[in-house]
Amino acid sequence: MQSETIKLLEVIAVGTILLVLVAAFMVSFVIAHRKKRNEFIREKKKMETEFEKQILQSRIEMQEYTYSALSKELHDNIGQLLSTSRMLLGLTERNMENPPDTLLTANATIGQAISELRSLSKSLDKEWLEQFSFTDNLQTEISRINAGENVLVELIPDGELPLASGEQIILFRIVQEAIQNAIKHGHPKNMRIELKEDENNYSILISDDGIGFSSNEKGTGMGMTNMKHRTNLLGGSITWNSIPGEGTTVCIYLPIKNKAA
Amino acid sequence: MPVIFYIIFVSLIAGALFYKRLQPQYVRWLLPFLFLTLLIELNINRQWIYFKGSTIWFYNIFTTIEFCFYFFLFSINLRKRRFRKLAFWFIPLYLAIAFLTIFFIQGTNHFHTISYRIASVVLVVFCYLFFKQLLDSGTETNVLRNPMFWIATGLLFFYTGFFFYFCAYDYVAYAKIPLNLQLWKIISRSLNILLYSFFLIAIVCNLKPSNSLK
Repeated sequence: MQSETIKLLEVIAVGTILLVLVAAFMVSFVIAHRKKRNEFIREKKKMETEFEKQILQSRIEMQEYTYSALSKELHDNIGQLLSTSRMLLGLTERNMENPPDTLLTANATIGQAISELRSLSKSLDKEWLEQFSFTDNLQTEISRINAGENVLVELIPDGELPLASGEQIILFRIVQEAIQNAIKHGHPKNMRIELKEDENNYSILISDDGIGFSSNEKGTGMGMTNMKHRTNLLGGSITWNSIPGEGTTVCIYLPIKNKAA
Repeated sequence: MPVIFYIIFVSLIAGALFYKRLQPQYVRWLLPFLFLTLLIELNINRQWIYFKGSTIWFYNIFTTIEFCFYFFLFSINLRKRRFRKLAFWFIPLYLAIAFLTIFFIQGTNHFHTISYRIASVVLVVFCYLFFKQLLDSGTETNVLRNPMFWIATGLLFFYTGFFFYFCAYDYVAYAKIPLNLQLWKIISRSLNILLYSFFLIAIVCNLKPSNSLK
């Protein structure tokens, strides 16, 4: 009887050790498998981000190509047509003893159109923009918009943007889109673009006194999504703060680590 | 004094020191549970040493409460609704099984091995379900910082370790041979040390960052 109990106790001892080992194996398996899976998830996320970046990059390149083509078309074709028209109007003016006021006004208007077309064409041409800094390009863009006298845009610069040339163009397009969106949807009288640099961020605040929008109206338009993606591509973030009837502020934050070498 | 008292004591001190930084909420519930464990174990220890009295009825009540607490922890940590429900509804079911076993089948002076075995097997199954949930999770999860992982690990070691002993408990527990007592002491002490050490890790593994570190 006692020997049977001892044998049973031995079985219990061995069985317990075996079961504890199985439990230990199970726990180690969970830890190891989870570690591998986490690495896989991280890698997948990294690849997805990289893929999205590449898609965005090629979309931006495509857009820049279209802008350049449009710019050339405006400059070489429509610009030439307008110049020819102006030259003909000038000739007509000179051939008449007392040219009518309407003719003079038409000549001046075409002159203004040529000048605006040139500046629009330049703002679309990447190669042209790359010759200047972000602040210079923005100033030119603001002058072009202010010339329309529909809205008054004020620029408050703060030093030079610490970004490489290509990245400056991407940022310029984001700001350009923000301005165009504000004018198109917010109908503001005044706009203010403030460039700020602190220890960690370079921020661009684009505020207007337009009609604003509520968070329900925000929607998920392509414009906003594109701006978000482009800002992410620069490693930054973008937010929209708007109060209906009081205006909108678009805040773009870029980490200083993006400083061009 | 047995080592587990020190481990439980350290767990309670750590829990009290970092109380505000303990997360998630259920980690805080471990503290009153551990405190109750400490009180009961101390009392059982004292009773056994000084009065040589039977402590079985104490264990019968305490282990029933203990199992209910563990089932409750699983009911809030299992993600699938049906498993959560299963763990939750097993609490009243288990109480009924334990009540029947203690008062009508085995008696108050015997350890409730029937309900204990059932609960042990169910707990091991819940541990398995919880681990499977961790393995299947599609989001990045650091299991080492998941308190429930450590609790489930402790429970898995404890109840698988005790499985064979409790299967043969009715046969060997009353055998008057020194090897039985030795084996009981080895299994019981090592598994208790493991269980409460894992509970200690569960308490401190996922502390909220303190304000000064933010």
